[in-house]
Amino acid sequence: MAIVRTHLIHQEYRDSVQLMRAASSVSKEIDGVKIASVMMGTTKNKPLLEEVGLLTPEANIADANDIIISIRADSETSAEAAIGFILDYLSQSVQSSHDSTLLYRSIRGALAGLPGANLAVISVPGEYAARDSHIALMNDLNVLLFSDNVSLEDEIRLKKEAHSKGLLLMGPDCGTAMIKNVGLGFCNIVNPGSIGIIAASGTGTQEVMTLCHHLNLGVTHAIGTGSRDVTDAVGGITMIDGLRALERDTSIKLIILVSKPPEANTISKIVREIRNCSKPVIINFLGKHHGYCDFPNKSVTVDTLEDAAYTAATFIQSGKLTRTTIQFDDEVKVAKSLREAKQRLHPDQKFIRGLFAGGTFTFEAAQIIRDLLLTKDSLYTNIHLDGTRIIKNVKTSQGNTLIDMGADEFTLGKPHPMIDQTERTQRFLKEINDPETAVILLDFVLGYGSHPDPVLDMEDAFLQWKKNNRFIPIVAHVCGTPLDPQDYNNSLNRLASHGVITMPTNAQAAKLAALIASKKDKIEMK
Amino acid sequence: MTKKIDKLVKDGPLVINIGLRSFFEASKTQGIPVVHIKWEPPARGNRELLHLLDKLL
Repeated sequence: MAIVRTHLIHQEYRDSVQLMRAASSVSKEIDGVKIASVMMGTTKNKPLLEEVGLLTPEANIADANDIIISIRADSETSAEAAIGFILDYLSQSVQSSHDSTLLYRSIRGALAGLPGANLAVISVPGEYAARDSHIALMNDLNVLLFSDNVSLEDEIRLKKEAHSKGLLLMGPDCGTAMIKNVGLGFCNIVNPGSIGIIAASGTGTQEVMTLCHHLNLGVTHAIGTGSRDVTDAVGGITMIDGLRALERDTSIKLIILVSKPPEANTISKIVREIRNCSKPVIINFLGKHHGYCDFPNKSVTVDTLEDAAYTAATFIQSGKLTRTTIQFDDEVKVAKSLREAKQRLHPDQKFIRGLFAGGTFTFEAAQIIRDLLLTKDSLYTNIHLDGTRIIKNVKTSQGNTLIDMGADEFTLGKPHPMIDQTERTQRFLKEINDPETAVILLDFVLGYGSHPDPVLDMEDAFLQWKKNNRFIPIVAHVCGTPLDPQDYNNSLNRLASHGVITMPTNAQAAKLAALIASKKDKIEMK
Repeated sequence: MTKKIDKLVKDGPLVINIGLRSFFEASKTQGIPVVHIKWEPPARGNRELLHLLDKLL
């Protein structure tokens, strides 16, 4: 019978990433641990503990500055070992962080320590993020607001405040940004150059900047707006301020804009801004087909993130702003994969199963697969895209299924799959045992903020896949560059050594998966 | 008047990091000036008390 143990560390605040890493490590390192949770005792976290039966009376008295360690294990010995492991883990991370720069307690104090500071990067829990952002703006700091769960009212108020002071507020929920070639949040390292990106999508930014790098282009700025910026309620304040800033920056020659389609009034404002901009603009409104904002030599619309990068390459090389699309970089590899799949897939294997770490990768793949599927089967997802259906149970695939595993239903109290892939690995093992799975589609996101080796995190699962008697192709895309802290080329090589088919872009991976599931033996697009 | 946003993109970021320590470390690794605030919930997470304190300030 399982036992539950609670241990509190009083008045010791740690950020959620540190705590989730501790919880994730103990589950892997100590046998007999069924559930391990390490979180602050906030009013938002306690219901999560209650849901899994870990809110003991001891845990319930913890306050927001207390760490609650909760373990469900097979035995007393395992539970005690797990608590000991977590205490060691947390004390080691304290020792490694002993550094004089960690002493600041307030923004004013930090400003004294770094005179001339011009940007506050804020990633505190959402309920406090608006307060800290306001203090930063009052102190004349631009803000990158990484935190989510900031109210729409606070977002509007803060953006108006920033705009009136000539400051930039990126976010909330801004996962990725780059300023003067310095990566902020979850960000890849790319060559500097004459391209500036403005995006309401974190992984969308990462895909465009890394593809530009691979095409020998350079990106100097990537301004993240947060996904609600393009709603009419917010009115595109950050997107327009960002566009104007890139217009004024003489180092920028080309602007790439990536976002979900703005709402009606906001799209009019943004189009007006683009028409007034002296620099060419490439636009990818995700899920929207090209042709809605094309003005000769001024702006061009594209269907995918890869098309945005290829169109940028055409402009940088020729000076012509012409929509540039490609089907596949390596048609020989694609043709070989299709032939093998057609020969070896069982007739019952019909469906694509996409398990994504990146939200925009899910969205883009759904858009491409929806348009390409050569069968009448529906496409189920947990994102909202016209022409696809919302999946009934996000934990169980039905038909063709693409899942954003970074969505709230997977990450409440648990680490995002870009940091820890425990949930995705379990789901992967489930999919390879489903007789209807024809192909599995994966993304791996490198760069600062991400897991130090996301491929390694899934290698045990790949070994189990290889032992499986059923042939199931895996198609994967690695979003990264050789400049990233992870080893990009080694990541690709290890995937290939397992037999995973790696594709250079998310769009091409999605196209290949659609063709495999449609059992085509040659490249034949609709 | 030069907007502060223009100065940010021209000079590059000088960062005050508030929250995730991993972001502070990433900025340090990239060699940019950065300081980290050891953040914890103000007023021990008591929202009502915090509201009162903010009013007093």
